[in-house]
Amino acid sequence: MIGQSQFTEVIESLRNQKKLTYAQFLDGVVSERSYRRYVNEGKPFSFEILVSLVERLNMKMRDFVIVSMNYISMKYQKEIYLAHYLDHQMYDEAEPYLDETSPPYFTHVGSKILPALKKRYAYHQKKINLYTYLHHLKSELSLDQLKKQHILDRNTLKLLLLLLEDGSFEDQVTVIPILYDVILGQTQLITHQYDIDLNALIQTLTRVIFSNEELKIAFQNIIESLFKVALHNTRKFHLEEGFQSFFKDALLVLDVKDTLFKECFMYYIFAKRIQHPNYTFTSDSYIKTFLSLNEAKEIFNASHFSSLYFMREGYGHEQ
Amino acid sequence: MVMNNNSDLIIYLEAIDTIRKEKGLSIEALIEDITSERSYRRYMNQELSIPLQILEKMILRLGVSMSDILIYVLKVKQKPSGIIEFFTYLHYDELTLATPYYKRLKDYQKDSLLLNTLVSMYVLWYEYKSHLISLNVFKTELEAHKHIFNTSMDTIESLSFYILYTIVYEDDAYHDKIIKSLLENNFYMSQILLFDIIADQYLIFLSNDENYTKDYENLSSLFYQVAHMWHDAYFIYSAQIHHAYVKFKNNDPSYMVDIKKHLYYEHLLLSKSSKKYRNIISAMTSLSMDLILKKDLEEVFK
Repeated sequence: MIGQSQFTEVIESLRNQKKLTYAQFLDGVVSERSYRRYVNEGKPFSFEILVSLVERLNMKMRDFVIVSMNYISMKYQKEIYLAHYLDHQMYDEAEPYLDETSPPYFTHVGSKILPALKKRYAYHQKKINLYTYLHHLKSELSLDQLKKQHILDRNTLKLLLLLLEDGSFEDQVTVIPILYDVILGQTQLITHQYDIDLNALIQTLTRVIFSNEELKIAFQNIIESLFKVALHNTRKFHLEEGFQSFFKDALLVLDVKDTLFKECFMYYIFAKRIQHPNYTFTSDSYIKTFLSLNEAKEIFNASHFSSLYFMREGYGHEQ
Repeated sequence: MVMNNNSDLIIYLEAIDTIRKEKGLSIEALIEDITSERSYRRYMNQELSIPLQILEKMILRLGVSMSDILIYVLKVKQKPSGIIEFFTYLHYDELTLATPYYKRLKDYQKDSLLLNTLVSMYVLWYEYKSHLISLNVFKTELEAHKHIFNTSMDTIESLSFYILYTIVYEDDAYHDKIIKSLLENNFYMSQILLFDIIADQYLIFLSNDENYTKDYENLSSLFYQVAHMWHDAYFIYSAQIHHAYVKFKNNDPSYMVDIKKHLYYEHLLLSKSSKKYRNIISAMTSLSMDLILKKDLEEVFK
């Protein structure tokens, strides 16, 4: 998470960028001597001074926070890269960064997400066992408290998603209602990347429940609404990864004979072809659990491109 | 003493109060030795201006970081206006999808003069695209509001206005300032979605003019990076076609891969076939869009 002292660094950087003299910038807020001391010693400004200086920069606080996050993310980008590679289990790419990135962490992934992903990596590399990895996640989460809370930050969300993916059935049963409350809007998600984080939540929850028969039975009352939420979310936020994930999951809950299945199948192929320009049906073991090559060809031959537009009005209303 | 507008500060106090409740902390425990309960309630009701020093003491008492409070203010307390959605759908000629936002933003006056005016210009653009007003009326309105926007284009609102003006008037008089602002002002750091919309608008404009090939390439390269940074499929869809066109102009045969990606995205993102990039695509290939995809998909089912 961004430390308060880093706001000082960003303020000074923006002052320079906007070519404001100390006199113009500080008049009536803080003396030049004190300001220089804050900057040179990396001390955090008081809230009062920070708010005033952001006003002097002619910025809104929300813009300042976004700029600060981008600034810190650029400066400590190795943390961001490492978290990204570990999160996507691209371990060959992650390895060069593992030695170069150690605590203290400075970016928004630093405080909880990166250590948790490192634990998962260690577990996947057989350096620690599953119990140690899950124990780390649970020790960072106050699950009893979370059940009562109505606010969730993005660090906690990520840890809950890891527990959902890797935890036991009992862990999943505990975590799912907490996460579903976020989707229903009964718990507020505090994050600077709301659409991306909400999308990750819906995708992970959908994938985990839809692909696990025990969970499908335990949470059968939410399957239909979860599918609708996932469909709505994919259309609303139109995030790149959202399409790939949604169409893959949709095939798990739709009937093969359903028109919507056939459309989702074609969109699944489109998304695959975007991802891998050399993708072929026969190389995809996942899709072959639903259809044979001949059945797939039939759907393709019967498809009319002129009506295959995912955003078209009425799409998905059959559900 | 630094003076602040109390209406700005109340959102911080609301954030503090929400986090107080989440932590199960009583008002008394929060304000002990800081302020009186009567004052606290008056601050909450906006009957009294809250001093920044008191806000800061309460943040410390809660034991949360200032960045937590700021992120709360940033995301939870900012009600989405729908401006970006409206601009996006309008840019992609998705008038049906834009309509609910048009109704909401028709009389928008909640922000700065610059943003309010820019929104009103987009509202007029919607009305023009929907055949509710003529091109002349739209042009006259643009001209009448031009003085509000600074030609130095040091704000993204001004830059957005002049790009719209340039497109509608098909006039490159502001080209040098527009391209400088797009390439150098780093607006994508804080206003990435609006940046993506206007960058694509201007790229489409430049793609028609051989005199601006170098600027087109530079902007296309920046747009491609920025679009991928935010994972928004709409802008990746757009960036892909400009990326293809730059490759095509530089005799890189892999441009067809980018065209195909662009076309697949079109089916995932739009409600109908788009003519928006047809000039660019037809400069690269004479094949129909459907045929390109059909041939590509035949490879999938071999």
